[in-house]
Amino acid sequence: MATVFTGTDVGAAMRRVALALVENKDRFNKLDAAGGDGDMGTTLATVSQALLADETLYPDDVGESVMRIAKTIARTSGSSLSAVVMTGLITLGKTWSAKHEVAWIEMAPALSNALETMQARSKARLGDKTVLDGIARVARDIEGISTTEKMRATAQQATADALAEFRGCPAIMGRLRLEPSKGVGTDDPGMVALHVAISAMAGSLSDRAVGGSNK
Amino acid sequence: MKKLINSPEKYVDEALAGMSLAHQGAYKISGSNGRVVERAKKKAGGKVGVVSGGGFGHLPLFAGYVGEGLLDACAVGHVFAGPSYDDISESLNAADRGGGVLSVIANYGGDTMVFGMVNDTLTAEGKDCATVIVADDVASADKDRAETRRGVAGIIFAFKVAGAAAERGLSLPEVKAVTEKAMAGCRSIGVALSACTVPQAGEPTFHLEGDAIEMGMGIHGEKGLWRGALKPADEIAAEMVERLLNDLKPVAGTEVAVLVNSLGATPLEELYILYRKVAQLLEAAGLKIAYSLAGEYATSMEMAGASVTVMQVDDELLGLLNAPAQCPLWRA
Repeated sequence: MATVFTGTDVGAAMRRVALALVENKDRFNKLDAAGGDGDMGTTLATVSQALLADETLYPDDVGESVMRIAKTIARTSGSSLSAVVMTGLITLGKTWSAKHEVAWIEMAPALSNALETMQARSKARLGDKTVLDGIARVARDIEGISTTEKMRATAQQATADALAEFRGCPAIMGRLRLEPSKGVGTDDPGMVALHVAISAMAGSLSDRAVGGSNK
Repeated sequence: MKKLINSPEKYVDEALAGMSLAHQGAYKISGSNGRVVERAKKKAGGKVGVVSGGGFGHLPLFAGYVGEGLLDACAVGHVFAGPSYDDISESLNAADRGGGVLSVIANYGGDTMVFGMVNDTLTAEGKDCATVIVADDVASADKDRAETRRGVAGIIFAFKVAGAAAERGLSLPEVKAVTEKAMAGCRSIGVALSACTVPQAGEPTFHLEGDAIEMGMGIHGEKGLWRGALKPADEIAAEMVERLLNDLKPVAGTEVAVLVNSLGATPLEELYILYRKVAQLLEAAGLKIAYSLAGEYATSMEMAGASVTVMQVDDELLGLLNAPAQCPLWRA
């Protein structure tokens, strides 16, 4: 039973995520239009296409692979969601610098650490109904999990649970902060994107294969 | 969508290329993505570099104000979408002449976060960096949450003050301080009459049916304070000035700078009709207009409507507003 992942696995997972984000471009734009610019899908698709355009293999070094994704975001997007994701990836990249394997059991504390830096950058609090609430739920639910198979199912379920938990809540951040009640009954677009991304990694979106290690 | 474009994807890059060609010797387009606008002529060594950046679609804001006495460089994003980390980083490096770099940016999530990341990185590398975040739109949040307000046309005054202060040789902390002083007394409010269309979306950003207007709407179509039937210009001016002064609470006798700005499609004639009433009301409130601008300064492409900005000034700020500025799109 696989208990670790490598930098190459990061690259493989990234491709699946990028394809899913491109596929969902119009859906994300529509969701974002309810309270924002309506361009989140376009932004995520632009970044994803840049990631997909880089066909060179990802290195085994996990930190280097994660940093490579962050650098592509740095080159292609200046959105708030991109900034938050970039911040988290940089933190993870530093945590896993020069590591050719990372044990899944280390994912929860690393994600919690990254979450702190993302909160500091965005000034969003947990409970504000942002992508950070989804990440926090994942970090909490995967604690103690050490195998790829359990990680897939748990992380995906965590993002779905986060969406359900926050659907009835007002939106505190972004443009809907001016009219928070308008966010009640709707999903935060960033949290939906997280769910799509993790589902893509887990292989349950369309007919795509799983992310994570083959070891 | 009826626009003079070749393709939505090329909108920004072709417009920047044309801007550079139309104003030869003023702007230099650089950067790995071609999204940095800097002065064509080298700045004096040792001065503080003043940088801004933001989404495209607001010309002359942001990139149009690169020039002597204003910005040294500007990072340009996509339409209504902030510039990337790399664009911002390259802009700050382009503006750095050894005296440190001040970023003057509007209060939008992506811009503040990505500029913050770049500033943190460059500071860690040993550069002197500072930031002023402009949040002048009184319609976007109550006074007790003023730090969350959007940045709109008031940023024009911030550019002018920061640019002039840097040109005079003030240090980075001094340029930052005087710009913050200006923005502490600066308030804006807008009114929208019709929407604009983001080229890549192909649809208007919002709909204002019939004779409807929206008071307080943001420059990207963000929700305003109320939506209702069009009123005479004097009534609209009265509400805008009342909201600005209720928030700013200037004492009688205060000198102010005023900007009546077109959001893009509203002509100068209508701006002057608005300005006329704004000036009467400010003077009736005991304020003295010491500096005034009317025209297109911060637009949203073809959006119809206007914004009014009032900024308290003292001798120092007035001197900086009146200092020379050389830039094709700056009209004093």
